[in-house]
Amino acid sequence: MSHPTPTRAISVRVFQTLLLLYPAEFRRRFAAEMIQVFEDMLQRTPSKRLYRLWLRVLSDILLTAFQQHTSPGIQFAECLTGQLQDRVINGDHRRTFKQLLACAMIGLSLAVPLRLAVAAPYRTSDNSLAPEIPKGTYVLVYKLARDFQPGDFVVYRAPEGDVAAKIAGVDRAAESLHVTRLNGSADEVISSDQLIGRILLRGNPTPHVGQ
Amino acid sequence: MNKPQRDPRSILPLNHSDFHIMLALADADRHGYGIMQEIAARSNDTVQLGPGTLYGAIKRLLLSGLIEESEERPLAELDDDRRRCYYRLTEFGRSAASVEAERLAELIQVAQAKKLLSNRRFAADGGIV
Repeated sequence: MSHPTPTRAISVRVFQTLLLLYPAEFRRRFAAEMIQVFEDMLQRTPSKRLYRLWLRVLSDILLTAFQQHTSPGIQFAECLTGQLQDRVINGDHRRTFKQLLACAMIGLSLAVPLRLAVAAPYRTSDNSLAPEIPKGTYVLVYKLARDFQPGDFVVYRAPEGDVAAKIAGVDRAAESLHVTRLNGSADEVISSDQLIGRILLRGNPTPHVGQ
Repeated sequence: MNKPQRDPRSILPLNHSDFHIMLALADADRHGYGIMQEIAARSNDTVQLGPGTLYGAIKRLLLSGLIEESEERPLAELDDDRRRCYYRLTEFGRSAASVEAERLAELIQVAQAKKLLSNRRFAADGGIV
């Protein structure tokens, strides 16, 4: 019934690695139990059916990791994957896997250019724009913004990494912006080349909770 | 954890895999793999939850107060690992599951009345109560 130890150990190792696809919070709570379940499944699968087990587990992981990352508000994704989910639990793994791959390719080919060129999410790592944007706030940075006003929040490239700041003044002739942080106690003049984009939307600060 | 009184009808209909898990927990507390086995056995292997689907559903059910972690180890076997986490239905979960079962039973009656369900197959499966 059970596999020779090396195959088993490799399978478990691969499974463990795949769990990295889930959000950290989900992993912290369920990874140990999921590994246990996978070991049990492995234990009761004859060697020649191992590939079927993997087909099933792989499509299950890819699909549910995606679900765990999408916020409940993304109804479209829910509806798309809901259909797939019914197929996964009804045992049609080969078709699910193919469809999932297609979905992933379409998703990536849309998401990557969008993130690179149009808008990308960032999370503030300090309180330099408090109280308006406290530490831990998710912001959406619109990269095609061209028209800036004093008071706008922007993200720009600095030697120490990407930095968020508030615009204090705009010099259109020199194509530069005067930006401030830490309630005006730090200020800098940046060129338009350094600019990544304007902060379009901001979420609520999400402090780290749990163990 | 005492949740305020909620109407179990407010969360119907239950998702396919959620309801399967709740059915598996209706007669015994079980750990993750136990739930998977019970569902596979009851459905003649036609419903197979993978680990991700299972724990995604468990997370959802815990959050909505339908199941909770259990301290007991009712099905513990000799080689059972003590670290395993067992789950059980909450009171709210039990009433939600029975309201859902009644809702489905009503649908089945309609299907029967409209001759969508052959009585022969129904009888062979043991019927529903």
